[in-house]
Amino acid sequence: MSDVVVLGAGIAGHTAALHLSRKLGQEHTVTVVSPNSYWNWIPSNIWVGVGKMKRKQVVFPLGPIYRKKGISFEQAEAVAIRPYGDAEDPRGAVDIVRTDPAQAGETDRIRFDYLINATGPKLKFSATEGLGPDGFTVSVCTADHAVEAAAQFREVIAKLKRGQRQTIVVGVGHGTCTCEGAAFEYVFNVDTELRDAGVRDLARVIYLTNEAELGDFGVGGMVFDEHGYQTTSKIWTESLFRERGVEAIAGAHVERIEPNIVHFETLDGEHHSLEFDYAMLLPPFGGVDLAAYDRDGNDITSELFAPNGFMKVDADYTAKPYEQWRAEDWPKTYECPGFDNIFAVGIAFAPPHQISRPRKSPNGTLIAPAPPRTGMPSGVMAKTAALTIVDRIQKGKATPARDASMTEMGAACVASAGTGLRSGSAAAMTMMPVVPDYSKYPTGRDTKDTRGELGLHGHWVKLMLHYLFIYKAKGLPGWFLIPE
Amino acid sequence: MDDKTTLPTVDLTNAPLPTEKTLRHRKSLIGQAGSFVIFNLRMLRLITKGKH
Ligand SMILES: Cc1cc2nc3c(=O)[nH]c(=O)nc-3n(C[C@H](O)[C@H](O)[C@H](O)COP(=O)(O)OP(=O)(O)OC[C@H]3O[C@@H](n4cnc5c(N)ncnc54)[C@H](O)[C@@H]3O)c2cc1C
Repeated sequence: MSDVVVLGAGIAGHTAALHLSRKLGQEHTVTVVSPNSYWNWIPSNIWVGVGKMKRKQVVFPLGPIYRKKGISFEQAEAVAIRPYGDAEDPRGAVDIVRTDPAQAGETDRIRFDYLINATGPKLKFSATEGLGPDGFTVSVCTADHAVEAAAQFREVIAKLKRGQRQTIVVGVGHGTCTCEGAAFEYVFNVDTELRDAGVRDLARVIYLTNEAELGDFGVGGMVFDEHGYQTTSKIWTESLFRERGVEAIAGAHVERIEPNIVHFETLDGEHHSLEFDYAMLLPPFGGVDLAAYDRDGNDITSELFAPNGFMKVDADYTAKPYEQWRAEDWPKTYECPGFDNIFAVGIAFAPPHQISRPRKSPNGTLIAPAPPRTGMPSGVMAKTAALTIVDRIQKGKATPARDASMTEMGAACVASAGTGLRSGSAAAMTMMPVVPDYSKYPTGRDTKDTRGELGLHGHWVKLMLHYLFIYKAKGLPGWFLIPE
Repeated sequence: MDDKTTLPTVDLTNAPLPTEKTLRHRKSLIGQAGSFVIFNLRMLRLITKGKH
């Protein structure tokens, strides 16, 4: 009998738990630890954030699904991992602090034979003074944040309807942010909503990003094959912004936010200030606060985690210049070095380096998009780690790990606006692979499968993915046939 | 405070604009149905070809 513990019930953790429960017999246990009792389809928070969808359309309670699937659920935050166990028991253990209102603050220690860390990002609003819902900007990172963003956005539209000009800033709130695709999608939605409300001409919409060029998306940009010619995601994105009348500021590190003013530095070292009426700026991500201890209680956090809080896996973390970065640096199995029973997947694993070229301003400020780990790769990594665990439980501990490197995996990213079937539009991208491999492809990626398109069909794709992934996450009949 | 002219905005004046035909295609239900099928087939190819 083996006990498998999954930390986190987001896209990665929940996917892993569902596969584990499907493949493992009842003699084994699968336990999910997550502070939130709801599952959230985060990509659709964008629609909640402009008021096009309700919160309840993007979240659902995990309890009933886990009961049906025979998965134990601990509503709690993991705070420490003890890979060697403790004085009482040499099996691995996780320290948790309960978050369900009935037992809030109570602590416990749960034992594991296998552990998957899928705790996602810590939203580091504190990295920038005044950033985030406790400061002077809104966010769409959680469903609750998105509800608040929508309420404030409605006020902006009301003011515009009264003839008051408004400046709307959308983007990222720090030079090292990731998830630029989400900010891009939000600005696209804001523009559409303003047009639908008939007030676009009174609004100034500015996209403020740490990407050195538009279309970088934290993946170093893409080269597309279009009608036999190579074009780039930069040209494609610039075209969209021009067509939509959205201004853009690239290569920016937001330094500080005051009420209605964002202060930022750009790659040329200049400092700027911009007045705004409404700003949705994403925070930088770090790993969640997890410590690690050995059997004697000595702190071994730096053995398991990188300084940014993400868990170290089978990547090559040797510091080297951008020119020497290789596809092989990226992890394949997501196994934590030294532990064949601990894995980190989704946003929780530490990438070996950025994908985009990191840049510094003349003042030494790092302005470098962090690598995105979007939904599709997060789900694939989670399934891969889950199946490795299943193999090791069923065939023996020495069974080789399965692999799924981000250098061999594709991703689709759809920035869609509007929720109707006839009126929406979308900018839809596919890339293969996510992390470019210049030893295989001259442009780093396969141009047959790396494309950017605009049109209503992308919107249908996004709607389809919304319903398909919620169906899958609910573990409804045949859920496992839907690819990650 | 920067004003509109001093803000370091990206110069988009040379970015290509879509033609009327492209704009029509983006909204045409028949054309988009075709693009929808092709996009899904491409996603399937990504999934089958890559490590998924
Ligand atoms: C606004 C927005 C839009 C996006 N749009 C897209 C998109 O269109 N397409 C796409 O592919 N990707 C998109 N993404 C990215 C996508 O959401 C992430 O790739 C994905 O959520 C990562 O999955 P994850 O499981 O690693 O993290 P999450 O989904 O964030 O899950 C982390 C889980 O860990 C839990 N947790 C946190 N701390 C602890 C702890 N201490 N102990 C236990 N559990 C803990 C959390 O409660 C949560 O359940 C978007 C992201 C954002 C923010």
